[in-house]
Formats: sequence, C-alpha cells, structure tokens
Amino acid sequence: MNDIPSPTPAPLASENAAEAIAALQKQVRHILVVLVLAVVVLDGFMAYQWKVSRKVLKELEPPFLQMKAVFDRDTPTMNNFLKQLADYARTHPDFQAVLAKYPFQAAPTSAVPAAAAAQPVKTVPPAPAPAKAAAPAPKK
Amino acid sequence: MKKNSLIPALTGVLLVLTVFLAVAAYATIQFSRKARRIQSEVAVMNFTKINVQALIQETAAYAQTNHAVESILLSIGLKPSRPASGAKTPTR
Repeated sequence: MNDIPSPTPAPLASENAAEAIAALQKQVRHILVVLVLAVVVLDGFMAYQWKVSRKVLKELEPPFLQMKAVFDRDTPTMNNFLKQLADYARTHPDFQAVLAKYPFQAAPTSAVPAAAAAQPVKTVPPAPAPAKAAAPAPKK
Repeated sequence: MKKNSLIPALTGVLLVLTVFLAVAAYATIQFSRKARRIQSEVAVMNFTKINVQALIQETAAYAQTNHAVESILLSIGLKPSRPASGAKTPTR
C-alpha cells in the first residue's frame, strides 16, 4: 500500500528548489551590490588618503634633504668640537659641569681617528623637550 | 539569464575595487612611514642643533673667564667675545 509513490511530489520539489535558488541568487545580488558600494566608499577614502600623504611627502622631502645635507656637512665639525670640549673637560673639571648638562656622549679619547670624526653626533633621543633652547647664563 | 550574469559581473567589479583598495592602502602606509621617518630625523637634527648651539653659547660665556677654551671656539670659526672690562679673571 505504502510502496506506491504519488506522482505529485517530484514537480513540487523541483519548483521549490527553483524558488529557493532564485531567492538565493537575489540575496547574493543584494549582498554584492552592498559590498560594491561599501568598497567604492572605502576606495574613495583611501584614494584621498593616498593623495594627501603623497602631497605631504612631496612637500617634506626637499627641505628635509637640504637640511640633512647641511647637517651631514656640519657633523664632522660638531664632532670635532665636542671631542675637543671633552678633552678640555678632562683637564678642567669645572668645565665638566657645563658639558654634563648636554646629552652628548663623551668622546672616548683624544686620539680619535679621522673616520670616527665623520660619524653623526650621538645624542639622547629627543623624547622630552630640550630644557635649554636659549643660552643659559654662566654659573659660578 | 540577464539576472544570472549580474552576479559574475558584480563579483568582478568587487574584485577590481578590492585590488585598488589594497594598492591604495599599501601606498598610503608607505608614504606615512616615510613621512614619519623624515619627521623623526628632523626632530633628532633639530635637537642636536639646539643643544650644540646652546653648548657653544655656554662655552663662549665660559671662555670669558677661562681663556684656554677660546682655542676650541676658534677651531670652529667662532671668535669669543671678550668681557667689556678686559680684565682677566683667574681660572678656578
């Protein structure tokens, strides 16, 4: 009795499946449209950021290169000056107090090779604001 | 048929837009990193310059009482100013 299949379920199932597929396709289309709109907005924002950062870099780079060239040119003179001061402070302890206020690393010895003089001046990283922007009065 | 072809087209557009987004984000990050590196280098240079200038000025002031340090100032092309009185104060 129960073994005989009814003829109606097969067309019904295929209709339901077709409806489900159509609904799914509709949902996928909607999701894709929303995603495309979101990515378009993100693209616009990122393109703007790209343009701004490129412009900032273009403005920063030439004066920076100029400043770096001047700094690199003056670095041996600065190093030489600091080394001479360190040597002087070794023989004049009262000058050590002056030198100790500044964050320059002390030169190792007076006999410095010429190559070492070309190294950049070593300072403590400038995280805190420098305490002496202006020249302080000599202390007695 | 028309509705079915819309999904691959939208997927393609999404892919292209995503690739552009990735490229723009990478370029922006690189530019920002470079700008930050420049700013930090400028800060170090300014910090060094300010400190060296302050040290030079303090050394020049010190040279008014201790003339032995004048030769160092002269070596970098600075002529220390003499005190108005012209009297030499003995070094400590």
